[in-house]
Amino acid sequence: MTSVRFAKRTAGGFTLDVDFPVGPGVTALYGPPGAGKSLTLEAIAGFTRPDSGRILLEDVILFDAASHVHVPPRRRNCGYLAQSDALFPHMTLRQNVAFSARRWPRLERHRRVAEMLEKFRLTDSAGLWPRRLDAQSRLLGAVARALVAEPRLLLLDDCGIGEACLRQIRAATGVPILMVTGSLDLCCAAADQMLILDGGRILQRGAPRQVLDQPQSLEVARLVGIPNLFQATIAALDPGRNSSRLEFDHFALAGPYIPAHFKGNRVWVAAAAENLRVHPGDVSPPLNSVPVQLVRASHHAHSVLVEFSFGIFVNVSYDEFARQQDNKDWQVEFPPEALRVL
Amino acid sequence: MPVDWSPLWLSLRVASLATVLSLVLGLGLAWLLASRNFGGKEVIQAVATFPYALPPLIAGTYCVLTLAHSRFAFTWHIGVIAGAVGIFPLMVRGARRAFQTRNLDYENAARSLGASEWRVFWRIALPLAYEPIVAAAAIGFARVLTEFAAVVLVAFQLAGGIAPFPFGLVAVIVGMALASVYLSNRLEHEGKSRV
Repeated sequence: MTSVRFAKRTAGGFTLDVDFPVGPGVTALYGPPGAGKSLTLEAIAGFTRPDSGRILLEDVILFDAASHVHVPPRRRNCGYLAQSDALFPHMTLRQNVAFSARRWPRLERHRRVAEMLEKFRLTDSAGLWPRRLDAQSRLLGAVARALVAEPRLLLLDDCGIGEACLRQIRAATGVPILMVTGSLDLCCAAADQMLILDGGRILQRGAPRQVLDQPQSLEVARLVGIPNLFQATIAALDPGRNSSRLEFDHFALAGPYIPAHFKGNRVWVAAAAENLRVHPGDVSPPLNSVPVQLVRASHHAHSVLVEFSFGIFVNVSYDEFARQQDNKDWQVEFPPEALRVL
Repeated sequence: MPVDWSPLWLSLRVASLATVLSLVLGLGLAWLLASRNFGGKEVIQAVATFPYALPPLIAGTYCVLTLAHSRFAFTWHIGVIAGAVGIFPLMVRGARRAFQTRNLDYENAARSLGASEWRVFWRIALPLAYEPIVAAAAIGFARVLTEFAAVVLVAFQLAGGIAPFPFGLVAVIVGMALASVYLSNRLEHEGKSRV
């Protein structure tokens, strides 16, 4: 079992207090800058000493405040890739990879280094200096160097790794990976587990899709980029029909039944922009729709984010937006299943 | 009349040994000051920088008096020790600045790969910081070389050992010192442009 539970107060007054297990596969640590993501990795790698708690790696104690155990970084067997380019600039790529293979005899070392370079298709550039390599090769080289040491956990600190690179690492080794990332797309594409970290605390953890679809708090909803966050009053609750009625400042909607709440409660409601639909204002209003005015449309790579009155945002495809952009009036439909009460 | 080159060889020997001695000791202290926090650090820094404030004559006299009863008394070895003490602050400051501005990510990466602290220093920190360190060493070498050569030449002159005054010898020594200073400037410039 690999588990991380520790607290650390920095000189600047920031307190990091985390408790989470690290399972097999990829665990993503997501959060805004200054949330404590890198500090978490540094504590696991042993570069910083927590004030309290315990860190276990495959049931081996790396840190235990109660028994004053703090295993030095070189004995932790955690591969670590920093945010910046970490290939040693004064060594060729081969020398970089060989640096971590020192514990093996000469021939075995050569074999392992060659094998790892081959796995990441770096054999041709093995004799080059890091400054002669492109960013992707440097990153792969740093990964290869970390993997030659046969780590029991790979820590990736927002090093610009992409989905393809993560797939290559997983193909090369089954080592668990704990990565810091600011990309929700990467979390969804490559991570098995996701931790949302903010202000030194873990706000939510779970499968990326589950976290994104079911944020448990307003903070998480904001952090995962849900733009439609409204305060509402519960006007009616009907457990028999699994429905509720929510009154917002400017409109009212039907939603699913909200357990553990009473009529009259004030709640926050989240609705992902891609789960809402737009219709022209002159068609008969669909169920749960709100008449709105177009405020602005911002064109993204694969869709258009349309902002309407009342601060409602809807993500529509380019084709859909092209069909409807000349609408005089608009209606936004809120499917009841798209509403999440936080 | 053939030129007596012995003052040059002696000056070179003294300057080289003083530079190496000062470099080895200075590197160790600079690494300690740049990478560790401990009580009395400021005091050690002040003591290490103190020879800067001493005129070379006073520093040399202290060395002679301190080692007067040892087997090094009134030999060129005292020149080595006095020279090393004189350029010690230069080495410590140069190396310390180089170590302080280093990128810790490289060292942390090395530690995570199983490298001991000695290996981190020897294989990572030192090679990455060599330019300002060698620059400081080159300046230190030039300073000891010119200072010791001046002392030797004046002493020879006073003793009537060299006549007429060896302008060629002086030119060679000044040229070597200039080359060291040029090398130092180049290395510092290259180090900065790489950063």
